[in-house]
Amino acid sequence: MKISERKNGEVVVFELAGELDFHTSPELREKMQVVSQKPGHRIIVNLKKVSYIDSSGLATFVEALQKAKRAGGKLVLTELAVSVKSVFEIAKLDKVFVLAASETEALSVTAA
Amino acid sequence: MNKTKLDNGKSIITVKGLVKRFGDRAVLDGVDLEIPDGQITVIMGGSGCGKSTLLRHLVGLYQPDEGEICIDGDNIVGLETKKMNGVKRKFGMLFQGAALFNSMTVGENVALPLREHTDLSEEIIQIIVKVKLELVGLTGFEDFMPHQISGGMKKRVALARAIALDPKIVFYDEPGAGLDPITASMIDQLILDLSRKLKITSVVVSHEMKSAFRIADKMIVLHKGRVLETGSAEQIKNTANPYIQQFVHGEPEGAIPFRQTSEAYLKGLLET
Repeated sequence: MKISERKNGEVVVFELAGELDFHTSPELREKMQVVSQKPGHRIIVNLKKVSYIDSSGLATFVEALQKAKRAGGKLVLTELAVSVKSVFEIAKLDKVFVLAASETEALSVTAA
Repeated sequence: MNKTKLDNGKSIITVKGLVKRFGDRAVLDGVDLEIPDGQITVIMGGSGCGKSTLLRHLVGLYQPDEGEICIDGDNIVGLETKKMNGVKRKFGMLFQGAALFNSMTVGENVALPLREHTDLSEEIIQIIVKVKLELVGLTGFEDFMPHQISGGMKKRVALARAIALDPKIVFYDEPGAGLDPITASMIDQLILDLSRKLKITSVVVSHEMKSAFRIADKMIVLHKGRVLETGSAEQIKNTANPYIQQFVHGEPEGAIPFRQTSEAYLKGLLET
């Protein structure tokens, strides 16, 4: 799993590539926690190159969403492959997260 | 030779020439079978046919006297403990009696494999527990003790625990045993849901005919330690094999004798 981080204005964009599983999700959690400590933080996670996500990956995003809500921040996930999106659907979490089709759409959601 | 691919790419488990003897008696007498990836396979047969012994071999609890068992590309026969633990991470098991720890809450039971086998934080584990309990329809039962819930609910907790680590394969040992017909059919529905939604390969050992025909994509019939017939539920239902017909219809008389002949009885008596 490769995790790259960049800034787009006030928004922090994480780009992930590979498999998000029990082995790799703790690293993502650690990196997202640094950002999510700040009040009013805005995070976009681009999952375009993620081929697989397991329960720990899902839980990492749930925790990040909890923190965003508490801190008045925003978390938007974007460009999910069908197989990755189906994991959110199975856990009935597809309606809980903002799942944007593109990074442009994700940026407009975080700006709103 | 622990990295042998015996399958044709579509099977996740392949068994070849499996033999297990207890004393002089071969409980498994040359079993060959293939379990297709992502489907529900029901292994059925009468009491003493060897199906539970076969299941114990598939999960690595028994070592065979002869033969090979390949799980997702790894031959697990004689596999060293460390490598076997890696293979075990790929499957979950639902035991016949649910096998929950009575001193732990429902949530702690589901969290157990996550705490034992991963380095995930407690916060993440608690979220996963909630997701797994929702998948088996038990949201809100985290703090209940096993003695406070019904037998069917215990089975569902055990299933949530079996899928805690996102296994590719789940083994079920008589999942409907000891449950009323409605609860048993709910468990069947759960097996179907997990298989269809999560693409989990399910291997179900059962002698419950109704349940087997309800869930099976593939059926394997064992008799006297050998595979008697393999096919879809429809093929097994319509087979001309008299043993299977007798078994499917639960008839006391037929190809499988209910009692030994009196000659065999007398011979057995006089020879001892």
